[in-house]
Amino acid sequence: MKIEVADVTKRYGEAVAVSGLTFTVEPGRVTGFLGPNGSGKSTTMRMILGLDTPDRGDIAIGGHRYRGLVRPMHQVGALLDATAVHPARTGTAHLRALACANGIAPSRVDALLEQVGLGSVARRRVGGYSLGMKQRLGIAGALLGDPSVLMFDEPVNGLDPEGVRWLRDLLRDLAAEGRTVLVSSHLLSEMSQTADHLIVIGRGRLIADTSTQDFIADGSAARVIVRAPYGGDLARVLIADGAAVEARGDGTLAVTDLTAARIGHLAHEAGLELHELRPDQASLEEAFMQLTADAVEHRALAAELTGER
Amino acid sequence: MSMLTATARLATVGPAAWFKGLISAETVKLRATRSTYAMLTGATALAVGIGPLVAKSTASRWPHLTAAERAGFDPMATTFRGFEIAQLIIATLGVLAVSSEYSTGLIRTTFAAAPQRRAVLAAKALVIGAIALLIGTALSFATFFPTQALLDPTGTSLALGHPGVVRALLAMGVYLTAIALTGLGLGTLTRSTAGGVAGLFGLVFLVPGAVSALPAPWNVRIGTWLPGDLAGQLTGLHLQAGALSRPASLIVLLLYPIVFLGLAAIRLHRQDA
Ligand SMILES: Nc1ncnc2c1ncn2[C@@H]1O[C@H](COP(=O)(O)OP(=O)(O)O)[C@@H](O)[C@H]1O
Ligand SMILES: [Mg+2]
Repeated sequence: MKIEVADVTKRYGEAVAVSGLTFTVEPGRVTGFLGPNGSGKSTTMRMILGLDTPDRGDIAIGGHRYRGLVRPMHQVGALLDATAVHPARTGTAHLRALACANGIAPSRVDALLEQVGLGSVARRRVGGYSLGMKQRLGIAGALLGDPSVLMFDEPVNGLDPEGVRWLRDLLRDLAAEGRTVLVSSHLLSEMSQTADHLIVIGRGRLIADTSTQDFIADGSAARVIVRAPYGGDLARVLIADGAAVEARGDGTLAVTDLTAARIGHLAHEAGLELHELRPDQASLEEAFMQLTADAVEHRALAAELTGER
Repeated sequence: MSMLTATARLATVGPAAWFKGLISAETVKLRATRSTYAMLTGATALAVGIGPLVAKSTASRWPHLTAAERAGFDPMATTFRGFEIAQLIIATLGVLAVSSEYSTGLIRTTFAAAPQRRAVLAAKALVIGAIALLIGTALSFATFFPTQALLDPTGTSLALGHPGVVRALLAMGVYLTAIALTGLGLGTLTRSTAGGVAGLFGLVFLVPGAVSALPAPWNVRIGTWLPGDLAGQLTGLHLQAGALSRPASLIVLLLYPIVFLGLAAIRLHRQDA
């Protein structure tokens, strides 16, 4: 089942949260929904779930509007906000209410709580859960109905490193089983390690809809870190190819204006050994911010010129 | 191993089974919330406690009362003295059934799990209504007997078989149900516990005060249409001058939950969750 977002616009009063957004989320891969805070990710996800109604455009899941689905948890599982729980209820009770509404057996609730690692606290009040535990509870809720579409809004928040790894594996497994998986984040570094495909938005508009690999490779403003035993020789070769090279204190070179692939190719041609070749995460993040900011400014300017509001 | 072992998939589900699921979900939520029990205990203590207390003090003061005071004494109204506050607690249960979901953000999870929002509201109304009717009627009868027993020395005490008594006791259960459902409607409309409770408070206490200050005959005409007055009309043994007929007062009473829940259903369906 696909998620199809077609030319969707959403305003809250004067503010435009999402504007002319079109994309399709395909099954069988993890799709990252990437954008800085306030770019409209949560709004889009709420509209996919039929919670907010678009002012314009249409959204379909497997060809149906969400609000027309009966017992939708068998088709779509979602976690929007892990803190949206009643603190006085237990983890079991929270999930059991959802299970009842969707005709899911209580035994499934217990099994899932066990599987997300909350078995020992299932009968405790959710108010005492850490944010990471609430994320796990929310993820269990999303999985309750064994759905073929899954959607998570910033699920990494509050998870410890072990939890992050667990979530990454889970997302990959779900996609490998042929499910449609959409995960939002405001951090490219996070998505670059999990998502196969990226949908990037800035101020409610689509900026990129591309494979993660291509998106990162295209981030040509990003730096590449190179460690090579003959750094001086390599630097000369790279500079000759138009790169800016900076020697860093730790014996590595920081290269801008060349992709990692190009650097590897040049080193190979020159017969120079490489010990390390990687995009600089921090600069990748900067490039992503730059990209979304630029896109926003360009469009704002264009909109002003054409009188569009 | 995959996280997702097979689960019984319901390809098709009948409307009755589907709605029953929504009712179970609401029942689970209410039963799993400690404040439900605290509030029902509080309402019980007030309802069952205050009537007999007033009866006891009345009985001890009885020899000193004037003939006019004795003639004006209403043993049925004494039974329900504690219900003035107890009704607010029961109605707040109705407010909370939905407002707590808005304050925690849970409402979005609820509507993602069941996008048929009006049916969810109907399920909430059914569960809250059933509890209010059951508890309200039980409290009504449970308060009647000790209150009347304590009024025995005054010679005014009523037996269950006295004309109109059973009707009055049942009417109090119906009134509490109506007010609890009105609370549910107000909670949905305001999306807030404070807003819903304030609305109830206004409807039950403030509006009657304001209306009684209106020039005659409007103070009585409008006053008889207010919930508190309707409760008196329905649970009184004798019809007061200017009161509505009993069937009319029942219909007007039921209009409150119908109107507020109706507006709530429209808002729920149309607006963003
Ligand atoms: N219910 C709402 N009312 C008013 N403004 C909103 C509402 N929801 C979102 N917005 C606005 O829409 C924009 C997008 O927000 P959001 O979808 O939460 O972004 P993200 O999830 O990417 O951080 C923001 O400017 C936000 O302030
Ligand atoms: Mg968000």
